[in-house]
Amino acid sequence: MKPTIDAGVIGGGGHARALAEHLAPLPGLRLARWGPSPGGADQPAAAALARRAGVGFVPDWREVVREPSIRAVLVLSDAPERALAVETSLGAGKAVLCPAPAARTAAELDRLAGAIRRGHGLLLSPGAIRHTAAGKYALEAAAGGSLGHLHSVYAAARTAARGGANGRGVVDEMGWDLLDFVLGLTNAPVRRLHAAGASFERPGERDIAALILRFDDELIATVELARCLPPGIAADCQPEVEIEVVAARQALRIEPYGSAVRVYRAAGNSLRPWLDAPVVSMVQDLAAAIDNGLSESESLDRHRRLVEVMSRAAGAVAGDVG
Amino acid sequence: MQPIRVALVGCGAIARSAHLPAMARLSDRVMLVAAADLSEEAARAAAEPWGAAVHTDYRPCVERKDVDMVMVATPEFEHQGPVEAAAAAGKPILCEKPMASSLAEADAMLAACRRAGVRLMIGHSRRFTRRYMEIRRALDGGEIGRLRLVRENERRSRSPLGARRGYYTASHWTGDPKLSVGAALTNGIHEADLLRWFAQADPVAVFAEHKVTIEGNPGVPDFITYTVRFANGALGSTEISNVLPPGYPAFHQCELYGTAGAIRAKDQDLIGLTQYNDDGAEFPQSFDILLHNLTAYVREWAGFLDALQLDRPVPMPPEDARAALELALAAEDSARSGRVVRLGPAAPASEIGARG
Repeated sequence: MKPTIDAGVIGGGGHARALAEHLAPLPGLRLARWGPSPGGADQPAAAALARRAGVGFVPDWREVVREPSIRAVLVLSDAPERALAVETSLGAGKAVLCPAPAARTAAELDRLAGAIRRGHGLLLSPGAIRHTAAGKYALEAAAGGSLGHLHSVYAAARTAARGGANGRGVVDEMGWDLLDFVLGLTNAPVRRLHAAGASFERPGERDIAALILRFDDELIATVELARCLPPGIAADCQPEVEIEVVAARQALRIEPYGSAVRVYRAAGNSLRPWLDAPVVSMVQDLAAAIDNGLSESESLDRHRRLVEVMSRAAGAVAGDVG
Repeated sequence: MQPIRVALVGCGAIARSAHLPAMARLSDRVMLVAAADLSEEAARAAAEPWGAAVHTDYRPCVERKDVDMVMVATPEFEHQGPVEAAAAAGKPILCEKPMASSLAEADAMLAACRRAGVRLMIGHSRRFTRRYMEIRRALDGGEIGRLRLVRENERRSRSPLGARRGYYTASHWTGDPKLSVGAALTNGIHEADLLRWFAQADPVAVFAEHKVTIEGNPGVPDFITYTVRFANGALGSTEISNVLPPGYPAFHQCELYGTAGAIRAKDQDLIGLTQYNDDGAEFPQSFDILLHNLTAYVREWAGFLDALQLDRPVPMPPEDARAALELALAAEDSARSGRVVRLGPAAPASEIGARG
């Protein structure tokens, strides 16, 4: 019987909430410590989640990393400073899971690569869609060839128009998960990327983006990101996502978060995705990676490709002046 | 009031499935007196139930003295000739969409009708489809504020291999690169018109990618996706394919997001029956319910007949159809060149739809 690995959690974001509410044992991991994100903005939320999960809370995230018995660190933070927690954990030789993006820029990625070389840690930074049941099925079917040659993918994500700038354009706020899935369908380079963007609510900040990507294997992807849902149908913690994959033999229609609990009330409806499945699936992959080891290239190459495409997309959307 | 006497030019699929049934519903207002098709058999099949005359040449058909108006239901590359002939004969014209396969042809049609002073309407049936009418009504009423994003996708499945003549095969004109523009017009002309109609502004820039996706396609793009920016800042997005794997339900996905709300009208929300079998899932109702919207064609005909009988403007000016064609062809140009295509303001609506 394999020994159970002690894991620490940093952060109080959406994935952290799902993990705290997950009642079944995690595959091969035991949660040993829980700390807030760097900067501490989510400290009350993280402390509450730790209590709910029955895990000891530490007010400084570094204590999670310093704990010698902890081999795996789950960085489940929505804070932009989470790259610091990832880098520090990797430098300390930990196995790190951080849902995409662990790094937002090439410079951050280079720092993570340096930390992996120094500490011999490993990193998994997947999007959540590829860990939903539907997303996983689609990627496996595409890779296995049962769909036939891939022709097109249409992927749309919508979230609420909350008003006011938050310093993040719509591509950065919503694109990582969706583009991670799209890039999972093909290893071919992006030959052409066109973007159109619009700002309606937040001057100087795009809240709608429409991307068209053409890959070298002729797959064409149309990706729409929009912070536009009115409160009545708004998702309060996860975008509404729909994806269609069209191939020579089969077409797939995917609503990866379609199993969400929908709450209807006079004050406004909400959509509460059932996030257990993706986060548990990610943890399962982390346990397997700890068993099997993961090279620096295996840790970072996929993420590097995502960062490159996201940078191109964000730049093109920001630069689109109509 | 005497029924309006119609000459039908082109007796193929769209005439059989849409226009003749719509005319039958309006038989107190309209009657078929002549039908023309290169195939005598097709013309005869259309004419017989009405006791109408059969022609294999459209010219004598439209010039008949007992004809009050002409319905042109040929493919788009065969619109200019019948429209010019009907205009020269002084007959008002209802013509299938797309208006033409090039702007030069469309302009020639407009000029011919202008010279002759006859009404011309291009039958963009979606404008007469209840769901799209309701969307436009909600937009006009300011129910979602200023439009920010409109998405209208159109996806249909192809016929099973060998089942019948299919789109984009060598045995169908849509598969002939000399005749067919591809998905931008078939049936993407609907999307070009709807995006523009909903945005209520002229397009200023479009970017597209297209491709050939099915085996046996001689090289006509059967898939296109494009984004379009309108002069008022709204963005439009569309993806079009008529040849998705067999069994894929007919999906129109229309979403509009504005500053004060959103509108959604998605076909998948309407599918009432899913049938599971050894081959997977099928949606046997979808084609009839979602695509063959006979009431839309009845409304289209009624609107045109009202224009003739009550001396009103036609419900859709032909310049709008030309503008939709311009957008669709610009998308195709963009896909071929890999570049953003810029567009200027559309021509203002003229009197062609208003009198004749």
